[in-house]
Amino acid sequence: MNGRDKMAQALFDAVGMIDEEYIKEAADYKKNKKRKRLLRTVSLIAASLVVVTAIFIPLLIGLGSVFDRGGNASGSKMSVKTLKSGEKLAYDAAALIWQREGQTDYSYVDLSEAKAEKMIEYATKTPVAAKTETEIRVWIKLGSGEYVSPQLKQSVGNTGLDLFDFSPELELSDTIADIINNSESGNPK
Amino acid sequence: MKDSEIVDLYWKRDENAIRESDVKYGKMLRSVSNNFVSTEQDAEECVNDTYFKAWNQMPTDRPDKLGAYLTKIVRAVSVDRYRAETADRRGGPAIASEELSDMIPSDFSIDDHIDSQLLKETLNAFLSGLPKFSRIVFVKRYFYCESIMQICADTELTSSQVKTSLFRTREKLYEILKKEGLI
Repeated sequence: MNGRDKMAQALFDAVGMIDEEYIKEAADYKKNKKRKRLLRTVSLIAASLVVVTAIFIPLLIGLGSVFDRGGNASGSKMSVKTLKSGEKLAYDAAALIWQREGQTDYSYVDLSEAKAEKMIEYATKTPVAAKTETEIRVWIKLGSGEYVSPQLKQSVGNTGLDLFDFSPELELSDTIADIINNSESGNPK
Repeated sequence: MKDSEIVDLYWKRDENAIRESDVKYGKMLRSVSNNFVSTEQDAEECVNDTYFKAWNQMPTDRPDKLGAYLTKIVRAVSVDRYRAETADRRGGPAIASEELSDMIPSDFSIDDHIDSQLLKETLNAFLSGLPKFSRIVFVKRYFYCESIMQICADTELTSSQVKTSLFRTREKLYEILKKEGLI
């Protein structure tokens, strides 16, 4: 057995000695998923019940509606569009992009450049209560082609949509969560 | 029965400890062992060996998470059996192990001694710093030796997403091992 094989074997054996909390965590994951699904359904129902109120929240905090492009007050809704995994947005417009846990596709709505920048500014200024788990990942795409996750540092690696393994995991602000819930509720697939 | 009650039975040298362990965790342990060995009978024997080892270790050990504790033992027993019986055949463990070896340079050489304690500590520190979902996928693949398809079924990810996640995690692990002078 050469050095490489020895090391590989030692590594494989060392994986067998990892902390029991990680072993339990992985074993329990499937069970938790059912609970998470239930929670997700309940939260979506709750979100749809308050959808009318929630639409006005961005207006109250000075963001304007996410659906109104270029600062006009038309209020016309943009539909939620779908992007396949690995597929990139083919134009230079700004957008809010999200992916729920377990989904392979991404959803997005168009934003005006000013709106996107305002959202980033707001998200970074507003304190966010730490959550232990997040079931959704969000990016804001600027017209420059740069991708930003609101509560994460910008990274040169954030140049496509095939994104994994952000650390720490994304923590959504309630504002962003509301925008997503509203747009999904308003545009059921 | 609660884990702590079963552990008490082990400590009291009450043979019901094994029966209760099997009632609570037997099915799960057989399932884990089946990822490593090729027959149901081998898996059954590995599980029996696991209870025997737990019986011998328990007066010293007092595990908080009995299921995870037994799983660690059954994995080690099953890996040993796999290595003894299938030295020149490929299977799930060989493929998973090969994935890990792919990140080690082909001209890598080591002394006879590998600091397994340091390796274990490095791995635990590495895992604690990983995002939860990446960690779960990594542990499912390299601890439980689950196939990509099994992981896809549990996580609802596509196989390419699982492979990408594992690839990136291995890349990060390589950097950590290199930094610690283990590779």
